[in-house]
Amino acid sequence: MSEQFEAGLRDLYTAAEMAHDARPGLAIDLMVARTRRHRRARTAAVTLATAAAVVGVAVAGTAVVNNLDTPPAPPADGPTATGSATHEPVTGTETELACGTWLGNVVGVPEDRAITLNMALGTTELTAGELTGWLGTSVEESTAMTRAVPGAGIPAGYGFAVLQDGVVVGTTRATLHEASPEAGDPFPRTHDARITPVACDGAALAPAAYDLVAFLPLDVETAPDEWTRALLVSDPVAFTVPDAGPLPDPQDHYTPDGASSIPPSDASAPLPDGNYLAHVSDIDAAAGTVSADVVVLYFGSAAEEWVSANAPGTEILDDYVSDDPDGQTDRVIPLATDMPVWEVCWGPNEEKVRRTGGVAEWATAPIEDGESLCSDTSTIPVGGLYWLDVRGGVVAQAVAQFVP
Amino acid sequence: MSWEQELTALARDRGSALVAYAYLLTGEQAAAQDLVQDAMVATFSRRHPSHVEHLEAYVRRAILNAFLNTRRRRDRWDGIAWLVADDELAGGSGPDAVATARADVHAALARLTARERACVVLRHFEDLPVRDIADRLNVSEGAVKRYLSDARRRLAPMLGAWDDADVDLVEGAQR
Repeated sequence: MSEQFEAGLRDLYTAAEMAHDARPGLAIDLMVARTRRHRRARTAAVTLATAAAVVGVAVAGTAVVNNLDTPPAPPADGPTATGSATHEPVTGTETELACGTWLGNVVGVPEDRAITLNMALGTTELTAGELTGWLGTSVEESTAMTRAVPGAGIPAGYGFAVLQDGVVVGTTRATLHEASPEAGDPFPRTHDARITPVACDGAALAPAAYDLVAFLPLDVETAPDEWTRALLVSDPVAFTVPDAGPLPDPQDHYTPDGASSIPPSDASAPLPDGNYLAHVSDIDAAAGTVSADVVVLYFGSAAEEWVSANAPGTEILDDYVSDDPDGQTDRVIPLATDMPVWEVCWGPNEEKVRRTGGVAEWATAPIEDGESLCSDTSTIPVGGLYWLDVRGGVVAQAVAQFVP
Repeated sequence: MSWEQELTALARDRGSALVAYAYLLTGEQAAAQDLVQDAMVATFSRRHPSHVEHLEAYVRRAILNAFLNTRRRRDRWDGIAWLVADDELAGGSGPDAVATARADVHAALARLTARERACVVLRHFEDLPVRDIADRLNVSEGAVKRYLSDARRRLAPMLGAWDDADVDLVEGAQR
């Protein structure tokens, strides 16, 4: 019977081929257009990030004194606006407020100089590993002489520090770009800031409440031709690093609605706690790290909202859209030594979850892009796409994710 | 060659074969064409399509994956299932009425679940061994044997008993 059935299948196949040949055929132009929209959606966020970096570069050559509403005359050896710009993003990790420093011990700019540094945050909770805010300096007409510190700081000399109980417990990676004052600003705005706070050891900040301060190192003229280094520090602004909660069950990542965790835009920044989806390219068991390109998957209404905001007209296939905010950039992410690796097989008639090993087994598993293997005969998962659940700054579990 | 050129060449040169393959799964020509187009868009939207050495094979996998997606399955065969006579409920036509004509195979496939149909197509059209089918569908070999066994049991009233060569497969599913 099977031979007859197979002959019938082949006959059916041939008939379908002929039927297709008699029709207009595949809509090639439409397929190209749809594919182009999908590919464009993946690169849109990258383009935006690049544009922001270029704006940041544009102010890189601006002297600190140009931030002052009433700039004092710069000394001969002070920084001057050179106008020279590089094509590298302008970021920095200023540590003028060194880790462990108590803010009360910092030498501040004397009040009689009437210079203030102001900072505001857009949100008080760390979102996607970042804070957004803006800052500016205000100087009264009677200001005595101050000057910028040569070579200090990220654009315009600013730095940031993370505090707990007045003690510096972290620094930041930050990108600034020039800003225009907006109606309702409580103080003159000169720069917008995108700030990634990190712990003093470079790891992600643990979930807790913190304060952020901006600072600007200045030289203050205390006597004719006598200059003293001092730090102009903003008032602390409170923010929190949210708790990502307990590790989800392996099969509970793919939800009808929602999104995977969004990584910081700075690919070199540590990942805060969260559940990330990533294309894994390499696992280094000896170093205890995984190299992966973190992407963001939006499901259901979250996908519709993302498309509406970022790529209008993009078709949503299979109920999800993916975004690669940093444009196929691998991050090196530390692994917990006892991290389990799970595999979830999907299907209405076949759904199972199984642990396939730990870091050592994972490191020897072949990595392929686009497909996952989930048969009883395999001992380790295959497939480049994984959920990486980060807790305490390290990947606490990995779950292979098949995406159709 | 750019991805646009690769897509165009694949659609032009192998479009009929891909649609015919999808037709075995969907049972409906327009749905098959939609499935192929979705699979090609998905394939060429991936990160490194130019790294795929065998584009047609990759698109076939994408077709299979898209077909097994719950929503697609519900949208496809379910829409035409009412057209297929339910011989079991009608008392069955029995082995004596075996026919392997195109229409009968088409009707028989409509009786199967999506995974059963996928297994049948991979086994009897692509001539894949059970292990490869398991890999392709991301299921265990035991599951494939079970799907094939169930499929043959469903098909038997319409298409008759299977050859002895397949007995070991059916028995394997019972172990």
